[in-house]
Amino acid sequence: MPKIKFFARFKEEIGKDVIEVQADNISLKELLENLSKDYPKIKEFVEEGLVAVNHEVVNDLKMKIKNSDEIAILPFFSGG
Amino acid sequence: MNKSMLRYRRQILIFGEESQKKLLKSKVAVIGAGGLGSSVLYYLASAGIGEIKIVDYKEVDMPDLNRQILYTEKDVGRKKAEASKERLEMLNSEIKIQSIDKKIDEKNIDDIIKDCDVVVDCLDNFSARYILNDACLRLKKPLVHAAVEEMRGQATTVIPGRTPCLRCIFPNFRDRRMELPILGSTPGMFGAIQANEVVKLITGYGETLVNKLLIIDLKTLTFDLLKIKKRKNCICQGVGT
Repeated sequence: MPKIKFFARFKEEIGKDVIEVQADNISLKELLENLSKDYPKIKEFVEEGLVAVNHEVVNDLKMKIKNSDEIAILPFFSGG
Repeated sequence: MNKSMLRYRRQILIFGEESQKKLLKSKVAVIGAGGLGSSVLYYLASAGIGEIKIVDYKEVDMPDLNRQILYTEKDVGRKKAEASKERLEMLNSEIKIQSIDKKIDEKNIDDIIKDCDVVVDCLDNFSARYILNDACLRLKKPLVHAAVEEMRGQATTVIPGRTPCLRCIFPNFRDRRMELPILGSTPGMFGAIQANEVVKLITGYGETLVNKLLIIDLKTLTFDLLKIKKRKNCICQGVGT
């Protein structure tokens, strides 16, 4: 089962470190859309943050997700 | 070891005298002399970067003092460009420090960075970061990025042509018009990481954050080093190595 990990502000807002989901042969985009039905904040996180699969930032959400994948949704920062 | 090299003795033990000479011959632009800039500038001046350009247009304000450690209570109201130069000259009188009291824009940025070996992003907003990113791509200057908020932050090093640029990693970031919460030690730590990157880029010693994004959450002490890739159709795709 793919794991979706949340970091920093996103983790605090969603109230969980990790969500495990059933996902078979679907794209990352579909997975995140399915998940946002239960967790509406996810849509906002994806727009505002970074999505990484297996510790690699992904620029294209069309990629297919495998059961062993670890997905991370992370905010980024702008101050100096 | 001659007298002027004596102050660098402890770091020469790491990377040797030839590398120290490279640092002394180098020129680095630090864009922004706030929280990140304070830390970066102290460490670059003490490491013996031969010429440092400080670029900032703001004055020191009392709420800056929780993190902008270049300044003291007596500097409140003074131009950061002037006060930071004065402070760094007290730390290392043998290097050249140039201060530029300007807000960067598309028209002036190329002139500011064109003669520099490395550019350091210590800005506090993404509108200015995109201007700096694009100029570094145009002039093929390595850009050491960091940004912070609360007790968290991120850092990466952009080498035009070889790595993703800031627009690849953070496309279309819209700055929020608000006072961001920040604890001083956070930009202190990220500025130290940026100074480390600059020294490594110039000396060739160690590994840099090339093609990697470091994200640190000091609240939970979580460190993540993510791989990053260029984004299709990004403006940096046309930049040769």
